[in-house]
Amino acid sequence: MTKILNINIENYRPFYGHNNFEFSTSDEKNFNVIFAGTGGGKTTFLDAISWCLFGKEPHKELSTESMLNDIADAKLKNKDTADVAIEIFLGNKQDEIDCVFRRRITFFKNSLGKVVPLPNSEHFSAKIKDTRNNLIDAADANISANYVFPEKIQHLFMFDGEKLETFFDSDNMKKTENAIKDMTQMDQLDNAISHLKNVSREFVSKKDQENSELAEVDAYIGGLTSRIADKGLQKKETEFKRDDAKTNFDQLDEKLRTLNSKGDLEQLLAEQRKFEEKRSDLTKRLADLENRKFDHLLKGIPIIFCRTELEDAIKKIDKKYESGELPPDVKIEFIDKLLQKKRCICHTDLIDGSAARKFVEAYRNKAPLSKYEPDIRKCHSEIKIMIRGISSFFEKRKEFYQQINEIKDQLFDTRQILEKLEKQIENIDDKEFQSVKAMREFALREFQKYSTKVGEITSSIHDDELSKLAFEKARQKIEKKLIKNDEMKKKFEICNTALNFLQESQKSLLIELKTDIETRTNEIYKKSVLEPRVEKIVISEDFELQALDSNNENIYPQLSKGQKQGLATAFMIALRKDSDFESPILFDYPLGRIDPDTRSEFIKALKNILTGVQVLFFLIGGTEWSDSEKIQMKDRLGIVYELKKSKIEKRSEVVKHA
Amino acid sequence: MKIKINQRLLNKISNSDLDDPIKKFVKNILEIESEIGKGGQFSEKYKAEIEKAYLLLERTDKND
Repeated sequence: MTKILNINIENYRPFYGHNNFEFSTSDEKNFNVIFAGTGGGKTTFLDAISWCLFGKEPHKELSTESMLNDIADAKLKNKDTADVAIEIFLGNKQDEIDCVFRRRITFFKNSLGKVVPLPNSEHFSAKIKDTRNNLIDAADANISANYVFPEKIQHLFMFDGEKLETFFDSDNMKKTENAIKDMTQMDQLDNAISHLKNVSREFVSKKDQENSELAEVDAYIGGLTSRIADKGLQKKETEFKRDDAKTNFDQLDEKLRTLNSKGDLEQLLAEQRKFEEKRSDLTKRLADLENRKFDHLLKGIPIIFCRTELEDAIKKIDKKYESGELPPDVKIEFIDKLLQKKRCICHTDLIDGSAARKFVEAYRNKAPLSKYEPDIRKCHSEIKIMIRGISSFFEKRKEFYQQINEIKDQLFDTRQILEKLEKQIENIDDKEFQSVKAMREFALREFQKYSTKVGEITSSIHDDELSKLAFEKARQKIEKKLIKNDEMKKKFEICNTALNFLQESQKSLLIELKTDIETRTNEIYKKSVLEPRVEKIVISEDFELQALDSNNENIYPQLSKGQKQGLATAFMIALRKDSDFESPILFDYPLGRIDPDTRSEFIKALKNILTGVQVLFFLIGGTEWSDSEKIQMKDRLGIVYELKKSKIEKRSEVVKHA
Repeated sequence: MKIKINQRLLNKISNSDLDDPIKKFVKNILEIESEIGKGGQFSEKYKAEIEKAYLLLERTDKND
């Protein structure tokens, strides 16, 4: 297990003079922390490691500042030199160094007083342990560095929290497939197959290689090889178009969401429909009440409110009277009452000379007197009861009208809401909404079209590869026939048996790895990221990492930044478990995007997952490294360094915490 | 220094029906591929491994 034992930083950017960082190599205390505030040199520390190993500073690409520390720079006299140097010691324990990488560059003050790098002064060297456990100079320091920390998969051991959150946002499939292949040493297998093929060819003499049968098979293999290469290019182009369509779709989807945030047109229209139905229902109920407000007339006691109602009531009373249902005396009393009280039961003023009074009087004069009239006139008490009855009906009438008014109020509110909804609908730029929606649907169709095409090309390449494999086997048979010498024939067979075995293994291995990494990513993700909508993480056949909900919809784009970072971290760690890749993990900004509510769960998950591997966490003091994180990591903490930005000088002071 | 060979691949080799000398041969060529900082001369190294596997097979055949 390779661990970082020490890192020496000399005069590199904010680190003035010699700065030694020693790290814990204990398996129990495998978490080392470097924390700093803004400008403290946390990210610069990572750049120092990257510069030492690969000669590149990922976070300083655009910087024009000199690499030499400002204080060292200021102290330089004319023609003096100063070195910037980084050393990384690797091994299992502090006293067992396996490997040392050292990069150095010299700066000098020229005659113009400017500090510049001395030409060709940058030197990179490596020492590696030989079979006798002696540290010897490596033949090629770059190759050695790449074996311990392969630059092409730098992002798989130097995790950048901010980059992880967008890791799968673009080129998802390619990144997932490459990460799996790179981390599982599949390139060793590729190289072995390629070398075996070359060696196998050497068994046949140059003369025999001109055999016509062999030439024919070779022509087929050559044809298939160039066809596979062409299809490979076509696949790349289609993948590019597909990814383009996906990016386009994601952007339009985002735009649609922004437009929807003003108020979803469809939702508003649905609301509008709902309130229109309510309005129609209320209108019907109102009409029904309006019709039923004369029902009391049929119950014997007329209550009249206005001229129209009066006319209507009189008509109904006449009808009842004619049919014999209503005694004629009631009619007379009713009319008298109207005339006496003027407006006791009627909202229409029956003032003298008014049209309504004239109408009532005319009607009274026409009213036939019944034979019961004298008796009724005597029965004042009955008339009183009738008046009381009228009052009670009047109360009922009030209730009735209250209902009508309530419905009218509801109707008014409903109309108000509808007006508001109409305005909101008007405010949505309907044209833009619909056009973005249409473009989004088009982009989705394009994405699906190109995805299908990629699938078709992939399967076609696969078919060609199978054919090529069949021709290669046929070639092996021909070659075997051509080899006359038995010993050579046997050796040729050994070579080809191994070749065929490795080719078969290559295919099945990738499928197995994909399935297992998927399972492990699920386990880790579920332990660390609280997102109830995500049912499972899937790596599709074409290596797209997806977060599926209960409807098997990929909701990866809807995950928060913290959740995306959690998912990428889960995937990276799942990969490592299968890779036997032993380098330490350098994790920058691991907690910054993680929701504070789920942070303790995330740390717990990291503690469960990151066992048997040395980890260097680069944390922001206070935000990511507060008392709660200290307590949660306490049992696993190795060495903690604080980088303090000096207030007086341009340097970071290194404070080692126990 | 060497980089580890994928454990699954090693398991596949061990569990395969290949003859032991060929299993060893496959493992050895993967070892060659995993060696740090030693580029080139693969042909010679491979041929040496084939030779070893051949001798082992011959010995096994004679013993049988």
